[in-house]
Amino acid sequence: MAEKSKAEDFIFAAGVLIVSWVMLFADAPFRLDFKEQISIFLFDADRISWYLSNPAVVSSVIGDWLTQFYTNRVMAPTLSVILFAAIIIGLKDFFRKAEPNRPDCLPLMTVPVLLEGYFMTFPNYPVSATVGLAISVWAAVGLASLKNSGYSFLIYGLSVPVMFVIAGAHAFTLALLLAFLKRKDGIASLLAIATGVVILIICGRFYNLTLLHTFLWPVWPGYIIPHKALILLMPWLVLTVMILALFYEKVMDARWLRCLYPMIFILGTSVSGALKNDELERTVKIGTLAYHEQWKEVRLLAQQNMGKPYYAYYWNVCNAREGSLPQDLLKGRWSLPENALFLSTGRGDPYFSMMYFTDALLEMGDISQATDCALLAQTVMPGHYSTRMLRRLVQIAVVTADYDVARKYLNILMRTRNHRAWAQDLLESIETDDIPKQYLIWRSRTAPRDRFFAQGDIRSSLAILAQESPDNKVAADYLLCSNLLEKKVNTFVSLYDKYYLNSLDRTFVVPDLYQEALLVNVSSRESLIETARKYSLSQEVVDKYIHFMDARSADPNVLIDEARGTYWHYLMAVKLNNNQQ
Amino acid sequence: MKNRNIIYLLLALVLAGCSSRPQDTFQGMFPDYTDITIPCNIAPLNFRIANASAIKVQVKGVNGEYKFSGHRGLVKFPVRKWHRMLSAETGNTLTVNVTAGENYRDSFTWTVAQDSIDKYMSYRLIEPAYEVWSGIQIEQRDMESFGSRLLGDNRNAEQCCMNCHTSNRNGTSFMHLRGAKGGTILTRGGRNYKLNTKTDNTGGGVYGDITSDGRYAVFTTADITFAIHSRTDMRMEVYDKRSDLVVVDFDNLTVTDSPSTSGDEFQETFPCFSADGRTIFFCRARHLTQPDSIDHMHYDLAVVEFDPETGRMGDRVITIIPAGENLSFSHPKASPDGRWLMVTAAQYGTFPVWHKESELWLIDLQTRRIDVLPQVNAYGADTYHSWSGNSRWVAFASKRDDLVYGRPYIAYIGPDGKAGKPFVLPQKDPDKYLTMLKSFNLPELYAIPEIYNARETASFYKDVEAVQLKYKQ
Repeated sequence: MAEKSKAEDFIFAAGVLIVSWVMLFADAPFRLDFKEQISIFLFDADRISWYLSNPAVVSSVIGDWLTQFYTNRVMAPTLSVILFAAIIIGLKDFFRKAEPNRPDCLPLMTVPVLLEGYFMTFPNYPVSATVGLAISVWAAVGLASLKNSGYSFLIYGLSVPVMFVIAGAHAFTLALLLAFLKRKDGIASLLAIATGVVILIICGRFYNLTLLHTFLWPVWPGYIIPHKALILLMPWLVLTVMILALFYEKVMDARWLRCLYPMIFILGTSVSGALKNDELERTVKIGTLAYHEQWKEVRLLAQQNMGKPYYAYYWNVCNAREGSLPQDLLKGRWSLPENALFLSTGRGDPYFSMMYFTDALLEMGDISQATDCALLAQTVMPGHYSTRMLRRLVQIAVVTADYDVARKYLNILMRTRNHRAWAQDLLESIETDDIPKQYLIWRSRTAPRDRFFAQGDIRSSLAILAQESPDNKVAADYLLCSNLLEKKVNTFVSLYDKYYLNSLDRTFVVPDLYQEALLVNVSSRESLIETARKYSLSQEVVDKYIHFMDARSADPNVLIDEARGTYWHYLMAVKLNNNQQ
Repeated sequence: MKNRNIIYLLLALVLAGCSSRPQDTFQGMFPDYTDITIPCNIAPLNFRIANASAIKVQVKGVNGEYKFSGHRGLVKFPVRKWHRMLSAETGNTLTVNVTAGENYRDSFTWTVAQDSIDKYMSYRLIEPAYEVWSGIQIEQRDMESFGSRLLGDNRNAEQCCMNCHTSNRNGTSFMHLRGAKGGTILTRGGRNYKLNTKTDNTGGGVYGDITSDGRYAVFTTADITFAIHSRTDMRMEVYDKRSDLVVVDFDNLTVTDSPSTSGDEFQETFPCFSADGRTIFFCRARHLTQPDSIDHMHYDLAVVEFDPETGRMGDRVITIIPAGENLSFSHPKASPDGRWLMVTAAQYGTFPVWHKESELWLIDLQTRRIDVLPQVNAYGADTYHSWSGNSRWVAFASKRDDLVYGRPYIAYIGPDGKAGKPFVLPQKDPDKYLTMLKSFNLPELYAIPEIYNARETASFYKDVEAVQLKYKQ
């Protein structure tokens, strides 16, 4: 009977791990990949000194090193599941040593892993935190194997702050496990462990951490994980529940144990539901595809989800890259979100915005703000390193021909496993002055003359770029399109006159969107002819507009569907966001 | 068995992730420590040779020959042996021969000055982002070894902005903490105080200096903001919407201003006391609308008298060196011996740290002769200098290496004002400069270590109520 029960437990635990692997593989591949984009593994003087100057030295080194492999879709869930398995086996061994006379309770050990799997799907939850949990559990196993001696309480007491140095906040997990282990050994051991916890908290202060930092390290509360960081306290709560449960003898009864399966199944189902988080996955996916320059996939994904902020934004980045921003601005969707063209990068905005906005800024030739965003995104990362932003900074430096700056970042990237080849290729391009074409295109869009504008004032910046670089039609289009989306038709017309009307070559075909917008303020047939001549409008658009206006004068609602896809429809049918009005 | 398999898999991953050192992106020796004058107490000048493995270093001095070696392209001098060598060769010129395999040979000199450098340097470590978010640290570095101590860390002070630490080298120093619970930490007479320098009549202190006796400080009070350049080779422009000077009397806890250095007509900034404490040097420009006219803001170098008896500035401001069409002064710092004044010269504006053309000039206060220090300056912003107590060394921040990240450089200034070639502050592993993504801001030399650390700074920020200074007319 006991053998059968053990086999069932093993199958259950293995099942949890397999399901975890499948879930991570199928539902969170880009979130796992993203972990690599916002971290770095370097083993040089500065980085070692950074590791040593913070708690969780060992788990951070191992975690950052493992994160390098998270760009591989199979390796990422595999490594995660290996860590989960280490935690489950460790917990099982620990409780077997702590309670040798009681049956194993393997299903219970999967509970922290289920939660850890959930945390793992947050892009900014570091792998080092999971490593820290595994290390702490195995440290507890090691300590449970120690034979009692007169000084063993000292070892238990010291192990907690030492574990903080080694594995970070999961030293609290160790303290909980040790408290459970030594609960019957008298007050001395428990006092020693409690003292260890106090020393740990004091340790946090020596590391210049706040109490919240101390409870969470290597996870950073605040900007990087707003509010959600607090849920990291849950593993300890779960462990506490487990320990309390183990105090209760009847829980170890096989009949009760059976009840655990459905309970864990329910927990697992809810965790997997949270893990699914399709929206977050898609947000990360579209940014990651753009990072890997898979623009066809970006366009497709954007097209399928255009109502959402980042998708509309990337839809327009794709179009801007192809020179068709105005042509495709209104395609597919009537209700464009506020940040379809620009992303907000102020304090408190998601770090996705800072990272992603550099894509559009580069296309616009707004190097100053692209640099600003890239540096800010890098600054808000826990370790102040992001391989993705380092690559962006390299690209910016190559665009501006600041090759000394580029070499600085390339030197760092060449020390990484995943970016060495990319960095090497670009360094060779710099050394041989054979700069890739895309960089030269970006360079041609930058401002030749110097003007000032306030940080985040994207419209002033675009106006300067459109004014100073006549070749930079991307900046002009972004500016014109932003006015159209905000229904500022008069501003649009004056800007169009400024940037397009006097600089048009004969071959230029005015995009339909602009033609439609230019007709909006026309009130009579005479002015229509004059406007059409002034702006070289196509007869087709003019006829359509006449038809539209005639029908509207008869019945204001009748032509809405027929005009679908035109700027007039957008202007009249789409309600403005309150902020834009 | 299962556990063993996991270990094997992890080992395989370790091997897959390990790699040899990548090719170096620099040429020859890094940092450049060739043909320089060094303090007799400086920490070992560890260096790298690009793409080298085994390195031999032979140092020939007047009193002996010293042999060192390096591995994997890195030469790390043993600290004790290094200091024994410097002690034995103080005042002498050493010939250094470096050999790395067949391909690299170099020979250069190190002149060991008899003048030591102050034992401590503080600097702010900060990302060169346009706006502060997180991770500012003020560090105190031991110049004779590689030891360092954090004086401030904004991680545990609600990520407040921490301004640079300023010392008078005699045990009085201050550091501004911004944010809701901010204030100025003053260290004086072996005790720390938290002060609120802002009064109903005057703004809070920003850039400043302290008299040698530690009684007075002079500060800029400024409304500082910034704008971004559209041109790609410029980054940002920090400017003052308005700025004046105030004097703080630490004995009486008062703040005083003067009509001569306040008001709307001029903007005054970067004050510093002369060695005798009877003159205040500062920079001044006529107020223009900014940011539109930033590039027309040219700051003169000016002085105003200061009476240490009354703690008041004089009524008359005298321009000692006028600015020019492409010349604007900032950061005047008088040498402790009273002979020299070093300033930063840039094309315009008041924040040269992002001006790649900015450089250090040395003014002989006896003859008013200006030395533009070609042997010290390089393209890439040389700014924020600080004198050592014996007036023989200046430390400054330079972005010459990559134009973005400031590094602390040190240069020798001879008794005749002749400057030596500058060298970067030695690190245990110079790779730190290659991979570190933080700038070293305002290197400040001083001889007496600070009596507080980052934890106490945070505690001061969070728990200590600032003493309100009173305005004195």
